[in-house]
Amino acid sequence: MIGASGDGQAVRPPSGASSVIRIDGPSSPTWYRFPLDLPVGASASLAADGSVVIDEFGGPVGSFAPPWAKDAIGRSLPTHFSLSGSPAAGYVLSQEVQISGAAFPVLADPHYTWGWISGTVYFNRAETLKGAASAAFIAAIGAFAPPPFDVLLVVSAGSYAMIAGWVVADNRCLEIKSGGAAYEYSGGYCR
Amino acid sequence: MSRSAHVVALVVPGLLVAAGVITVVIRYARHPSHRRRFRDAFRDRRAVAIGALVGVVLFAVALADRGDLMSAAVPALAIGATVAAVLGKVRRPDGHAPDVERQL
Repeated sequence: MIGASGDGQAVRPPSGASSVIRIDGPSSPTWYRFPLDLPVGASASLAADGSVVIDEFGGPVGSFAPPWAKDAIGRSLPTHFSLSGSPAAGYVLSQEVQISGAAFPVLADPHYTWGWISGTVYFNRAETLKGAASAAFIAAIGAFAPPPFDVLLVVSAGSYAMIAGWVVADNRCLEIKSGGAAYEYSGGYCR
Repeated sequence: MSRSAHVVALVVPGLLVAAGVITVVIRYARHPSHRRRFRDAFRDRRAVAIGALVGVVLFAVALADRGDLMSAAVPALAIGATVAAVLGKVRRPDGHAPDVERQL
């Protein structure tokens, strides 16, 4: 099934990060394949919501969010993942984009969203909003912790709350690196 | 997201954080014991050195990743200070650092 209408080339294969697909015209391929470079012992599976979950050590360590594709005027196009392979032979993640009637170029993004493989936690808009409220609540309650943890909680949770608040107001989403640094991002999982 | 939701997203966390900051400032201003306990938490030199090392490593990694000074500095400072405070509490739960006790 993979490659039924020709395999396409992505800009960059996903190795624990984002990989943007650009489809330039109606004659372009609609299937895009990505070999997954997983650690030994890890496995991949297709979830009911269309995402792909990466498991290792008996639990999930990361996932690709349900795929999205948008045409040049911002319309969402039907798209889905399929998965082939095995832990021994390796996995190939494929994304099909239905481009009939689309305005070109079309962009799609199989985005790795969670886990210590990438070292980044991505939040969507609703999660960013909840994160801002939760961090602010922790900052307010943390003020009653014993010294010096009261200051540390107010400063750290407060800074996350303010960053997340600004990000929400900017119509973007929050990403937190494994080292604790928080940034804003847009596109992909930011819906 | 609507304009009112944007306002709520900014104002509510802002008010909660401001309440936390004001509470801490008042507590430290009114109670000298808070200031003393804060200082005591960072008296263990070895714990502070380890916390500083953690903070510097996190800061360097974050700075190399994005080059954003403020985004790298705040979590590095907070995590480094937390590590130092926790280690200081673990090593000396009563707040007296070994070198202070030796002098006594």
